[in-house]
Amino acid sequence: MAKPAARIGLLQAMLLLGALAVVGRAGQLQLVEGAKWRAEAEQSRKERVVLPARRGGIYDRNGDALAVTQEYFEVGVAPNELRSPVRDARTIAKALKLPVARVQRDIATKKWVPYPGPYNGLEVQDLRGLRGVYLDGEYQRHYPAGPLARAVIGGLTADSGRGASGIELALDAELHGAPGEAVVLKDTRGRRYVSPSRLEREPVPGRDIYLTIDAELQEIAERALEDATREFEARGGDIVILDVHTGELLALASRSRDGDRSVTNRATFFTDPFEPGSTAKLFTAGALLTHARVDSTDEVFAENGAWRFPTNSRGAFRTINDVHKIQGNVTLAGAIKYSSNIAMAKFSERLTPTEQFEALRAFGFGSPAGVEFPSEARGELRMPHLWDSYAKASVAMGYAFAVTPVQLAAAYGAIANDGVLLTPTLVREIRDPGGKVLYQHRPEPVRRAVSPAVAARLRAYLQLVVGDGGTAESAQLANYPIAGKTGTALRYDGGRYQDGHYTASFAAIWPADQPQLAMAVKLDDPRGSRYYGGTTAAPMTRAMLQEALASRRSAIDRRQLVGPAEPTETAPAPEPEEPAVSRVVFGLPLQADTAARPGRRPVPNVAGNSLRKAANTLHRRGFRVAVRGSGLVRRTTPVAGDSAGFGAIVTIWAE
Amino acid sequence: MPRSLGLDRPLLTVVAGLVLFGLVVLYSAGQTDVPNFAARGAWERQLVWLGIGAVVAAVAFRFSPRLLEWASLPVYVTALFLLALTLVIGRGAGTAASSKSWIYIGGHAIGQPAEFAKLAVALMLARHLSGLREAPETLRELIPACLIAGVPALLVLAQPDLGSALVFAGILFAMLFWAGVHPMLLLLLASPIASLLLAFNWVTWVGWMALLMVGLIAWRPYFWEGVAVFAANSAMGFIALPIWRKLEPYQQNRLLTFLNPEVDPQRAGYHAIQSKVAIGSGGWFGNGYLEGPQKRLAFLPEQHTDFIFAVLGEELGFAGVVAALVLFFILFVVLVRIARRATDPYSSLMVFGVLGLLFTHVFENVGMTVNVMPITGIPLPFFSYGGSFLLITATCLGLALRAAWDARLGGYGDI
Repeated sequence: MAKPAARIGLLQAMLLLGALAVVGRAGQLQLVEGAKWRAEAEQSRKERVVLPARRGGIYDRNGDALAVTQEYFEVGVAPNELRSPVRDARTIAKALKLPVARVQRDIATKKWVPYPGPYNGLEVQDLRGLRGVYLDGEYQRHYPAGPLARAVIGGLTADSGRGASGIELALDAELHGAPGEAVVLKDTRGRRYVSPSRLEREPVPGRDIYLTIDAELQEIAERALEDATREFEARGGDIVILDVHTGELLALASRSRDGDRSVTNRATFFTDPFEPGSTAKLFTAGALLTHARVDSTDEVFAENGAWRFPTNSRGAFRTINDVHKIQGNVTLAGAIKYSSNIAMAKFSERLTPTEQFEALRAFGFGSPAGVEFPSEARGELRMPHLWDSYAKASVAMGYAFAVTPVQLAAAYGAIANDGVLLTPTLVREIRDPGGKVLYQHRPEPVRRAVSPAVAARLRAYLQLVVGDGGTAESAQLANYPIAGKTGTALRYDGGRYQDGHYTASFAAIWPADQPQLAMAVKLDDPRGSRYYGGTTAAPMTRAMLQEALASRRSAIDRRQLVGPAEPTETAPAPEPEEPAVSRVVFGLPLQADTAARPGRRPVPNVAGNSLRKAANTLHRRGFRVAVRGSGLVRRTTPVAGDSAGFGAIVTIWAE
Repeated sequence: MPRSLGLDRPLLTVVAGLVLFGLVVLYSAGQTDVPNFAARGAWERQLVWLGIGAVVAAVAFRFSPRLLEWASLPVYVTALFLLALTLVIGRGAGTAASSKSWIYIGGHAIGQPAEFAKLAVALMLARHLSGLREAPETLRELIPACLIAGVPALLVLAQPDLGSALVFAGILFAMLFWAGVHPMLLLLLASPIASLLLAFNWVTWVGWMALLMVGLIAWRPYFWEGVAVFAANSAMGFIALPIWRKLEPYQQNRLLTFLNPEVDPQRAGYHAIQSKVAIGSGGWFGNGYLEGPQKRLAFLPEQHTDFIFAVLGEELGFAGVVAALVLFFILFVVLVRIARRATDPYSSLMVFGVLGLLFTHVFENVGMTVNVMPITGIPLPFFSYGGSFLLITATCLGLALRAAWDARLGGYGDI
């Protein structure tokens, strides 16, 4: 079928035109715009991912894990990708410890079967490399010791995995490590392909923290506190045990009321100051000895247990009572032994407010102890020029100022440590992931609180307390003598002292002759038949020490415990000399980590709470507090639920 | 003389080249990081289809043109019946999941009648046009031919399958052209469609209508035909919007995204963009055989069927694209030669119809992957996986071989 040449030509031209159109367009895409599309293709399939760094662990002083991060896996199965569904179902069921029938049913009926787990690395080991099985790993914080020392360890934020409280927050910069970065391939569904990934930056695991806490002692303390709060029907309490030669905190237990529940997750030993009562008599005694205002024979009349203290020149007075009513005169040692308020009030007249204030301040009261912890109360100690005429007597009896349990233990530690106050510490070592020690705690002397001679005298007084007839007789141990002082202080609440509500306490050093440990034991408001420090906190202390001695591995240095010691009335005082410890302070890298403290947070609802509780709640959330009025909190500005920045001032309006 | 010696060597060679090339690319399309079980075994199944296709081609080769001419009407009627049936019992499957294009018997997908209808229309048109004493000179004389192609096209559009409907148009225009219809007449025939498309912007439409006036006056068809063409164009301009509103949303999207894929990059424009990105990233020589990352990571949609050309472009680059298109170009030139040499008008027209069919497929498919044609989802001959279309292609080639063989034995020789 012959065709005109023109028609054939037109045909060929059209074919060529079609071909050119397509080839031209292909050339435009591939040659002219090639680079652009290549870049776009790369961008669509490549993704930068953050490789999370494993958070450092928190261990006790012996290396027992308290908080560690492990990789946990969520398992997902794509049934249509399995090579051999029957065999794979059995493998999956075995690895995940599920009934085979269930896995088979899941695989037969679903397009995607998630097993959220979480499963640990060992459990999913057999599933690695199985086609159609996807492992989604995630680091999770794990607490092998359960709730032990959780108030100290703290917790993480739910979303970012950064420290939210406790050591986790205080040392977050150390623990967190540096996340790495990689470029990975992903497919249309966003699923990632690990193998051809390019590592941009290796994740650096966080450092491990070795706390000074002794897990065994900690457990003993926590159990003792739990038993005691139940037995004595107390609202709560604190136990602090520290090593007197290093300032290392060996056990920190707390219990407090949160509504109807008794909780252990609040670090009240750092945050909640209390009026120490008689346990603080020793510090005024220290001031009297330091300034040589009494000697061992000085006596005051104990007024047979009740004395009207004149508070002004016009005959106003306050009655001071002694529980242990002493007939006749009493020495300073006796005043401590029998815990005579009257004698202490009389002896305190020999000191000026400034001398008394300085003595207390020298023992660390009124300023934070300096523990590596996000929140610590400084207690309360008013400047001497603000003291009224009754204040000296009050302070001598352990009222009108407030201390935290840790401050009290550290001050007793100073007495045990020949008068040198050490900074209490929680961090013993920081190690890098390879185990190299980056930081090691050295004792950090704060100051000499009293001379070694005075310290020895005070220790001797303490031994009297637990001796025959002393208020803490029930604390005494048969073999290794304990030395301590009881306290039973009226609780101050709602603007006045509450009759019948007490804070029972016992502060001690042990063993009495060659002290290793200093302890502060406090019970809040014991409601049972016994409420004196001597009948509650003191026997608790003894029970704890007995348990600690019975246990295999607590932080008691048994080499120092060579047989029963003979009680000595007054230890021969060595000449005062400057502390042998050199002041080498390793600055903890405690840089302010703003990332760990996200900017704005909601203001909690504190309406109806006491001022103290409200302020505490707000402080713990990172706010500063301004108080207007007194009594119960009515409202706050900003109002509850509103958000405010870290460190913002929240005003409490109370009525 | 043994028949085998009379086979058209160039056609066999170029087809063998295309089949081999197609298999190579199809194998690569199955090599992915994201498991794609439909694509992975496709090349093996395609081998089976190729075997069946060879048998089918051999059978088609046995059909003499006279038998074929006689059979054209029954085949065409059967095709219409099957298309109508598809509208009733058809279901979606594979790449055309949303349109009723497949016939199922006993739960098994048997085939796509639209593919069969394409061949039937080519045969029927060949029969009709070869029976004409002279080439049509008026639009009225084109009406029967338009109906032959138009009825199945409408049935296919109702499925809805715009791509296949366009193939019918391609076959119709190719065969009318080959039958000797004046190109200007074909332009007038196509003008209402152009008017329909241009009516979305009234400025372009007014421009088009002015151009049409000039053309009508210059070429001077019969007066009433000129009026009819102008009226049809005007009408199309006016019904464009109502028609647009009647289109399914996905069809609207496809048209819109053809004009601008970034309108809806995640959904409707996704195919177009991903295909363009994959081909564009191929550069001169591609990312290497089997190595195309966009394909491996499943960014390319339908990489073993409709978008297999994008795999080729990504892995073998511009060089591969040109190679494939050159092979297709040679195929078309060979088919034109066979059509020219054919000893009788029916065979000549039939071969040209086959050419129209294959050309429309290639142009539409490749055009779609490089974003010069809208996304219509029709297969690329020799490359895309798919049984129905492969068997139709085999039949077409068997018939073309027969036409070439007849011409050789007939001794008319070259012109």
